[in-house]
Amino acid sequence: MAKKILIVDDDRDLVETLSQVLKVRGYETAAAYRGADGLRALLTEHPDLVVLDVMMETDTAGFEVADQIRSPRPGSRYAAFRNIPLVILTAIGQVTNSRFSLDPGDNFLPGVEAFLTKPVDVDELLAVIARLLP
Amino acid sequence: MPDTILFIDDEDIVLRSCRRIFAREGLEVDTAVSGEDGLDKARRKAYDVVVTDLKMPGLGGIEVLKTLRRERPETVVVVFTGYANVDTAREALKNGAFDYVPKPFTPEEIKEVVRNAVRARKEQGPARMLDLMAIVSHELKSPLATVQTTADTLYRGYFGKLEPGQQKIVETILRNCEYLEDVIRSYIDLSKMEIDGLASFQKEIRLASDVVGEVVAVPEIRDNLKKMPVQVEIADDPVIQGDPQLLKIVVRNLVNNAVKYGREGTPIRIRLERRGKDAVLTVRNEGVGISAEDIRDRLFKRFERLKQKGTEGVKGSGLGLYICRMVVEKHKGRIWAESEPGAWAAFHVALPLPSGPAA
Repeated sequence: MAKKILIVDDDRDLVETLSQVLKVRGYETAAAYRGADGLRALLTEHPDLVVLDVMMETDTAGFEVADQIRSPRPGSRYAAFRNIPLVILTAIGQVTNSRFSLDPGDNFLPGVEAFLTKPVDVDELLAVIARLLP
Repeated sequence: MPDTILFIDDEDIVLRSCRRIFAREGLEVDTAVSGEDGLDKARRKAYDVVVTDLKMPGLGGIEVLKTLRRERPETVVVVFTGYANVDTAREALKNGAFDYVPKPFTPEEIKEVVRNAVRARKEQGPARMLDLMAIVSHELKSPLATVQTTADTLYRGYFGKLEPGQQKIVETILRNCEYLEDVIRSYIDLSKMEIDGLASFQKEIRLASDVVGEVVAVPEIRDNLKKMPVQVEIADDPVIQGDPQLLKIVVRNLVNNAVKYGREGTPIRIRLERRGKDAVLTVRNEGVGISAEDIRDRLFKRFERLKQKGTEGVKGSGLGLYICRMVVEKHKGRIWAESEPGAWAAFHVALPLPSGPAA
């Protein structure tokens, strides 16, 4: 069965482009344009992997979404997804959150499988996804 | 449009001589007979330069100065001071005056000060624009990244193989995206530099590993479009005091230029060595090179691009080397270039090693 990728990014055009590319490569896709919607989409779409922009300007910041997935509070509805592969998108030079960093030495968010910088290199994204969803 | 200047003085003779002195200097000259009159005029018209007397009945020059700094921060203010009145001059400078002219003055003295003031006003222009551009740049970054990713999916044939004509069109889109990215990154670099205080300069860094190594590991540099191998030669890896982020900007700019103006397939050589009291970094490439005139007059200036043959198709922001110079000067270092036009170019950056006992 085709694997499903959930893309969470407030840039609708980018989501559309990435979705098209993923579909061409045989993946199913789901999209959310806000962090909170991304979390809800976990429950309704049951994706196999999440591509998450951490620099969204809307309500729930991307890093918080990552945090809620990876470190769910007791009884959280998202607990079932704590091991889902996460691919993080960031703008160049913007990984400056105190909790998460590209440098494995600094409080690296446990279990984030990949960071990709924008502009997204589609070949690289596909390679990362292929590696995480063999 | 001529530069505009306002003279404020309660002595009519001073105003008349100023009008006479500047009659043929290409300036638009206005005068005001009191502080109140002067402020009123300056509120209605944005003068480039205001020269005000300090001691006037009613509203004094310091008040005029303070008000103008607040209400018209772009106007450059100069003050007249009484003969040998150092204290008032100092007070005026402290309150944001650009310079002072002691009375009595000769035409040459005042012309010189006004010339400098007009130049200062002009240099301020781009700086303000820079702040604005930094904000705009951040806004432009993400839509541009999306355009690039989207065009790239076409270019790489995800939606079908392109005809040669279509391929060329998409290449044009991508090339212009890269140019815009370069411009945006430059502005962001510049604004970062203005924000960064001197605190970050206290850091001890190793140039080879903390700066050069990190830059050459970046995929777009390592696997550059012109297939130019980057060769790093570390004769010495000195420890210096500096800001690794800013120095990385320098190396990245120099290597990007080496790619931009380099001959396809030829190596880019980066060398790091100790020369006397300096750590010296050299980035050398084969390619179009730079004329001696360009090196002397244009190379490290803001918004200047060179007229060298063979660079016509290359787009750039004209800011890269200016940024390099700013960063290097912040580190109390020097940057210079050598070249044989049509053959090669080399850029050298000398950064002072910490003095005192050897680190």
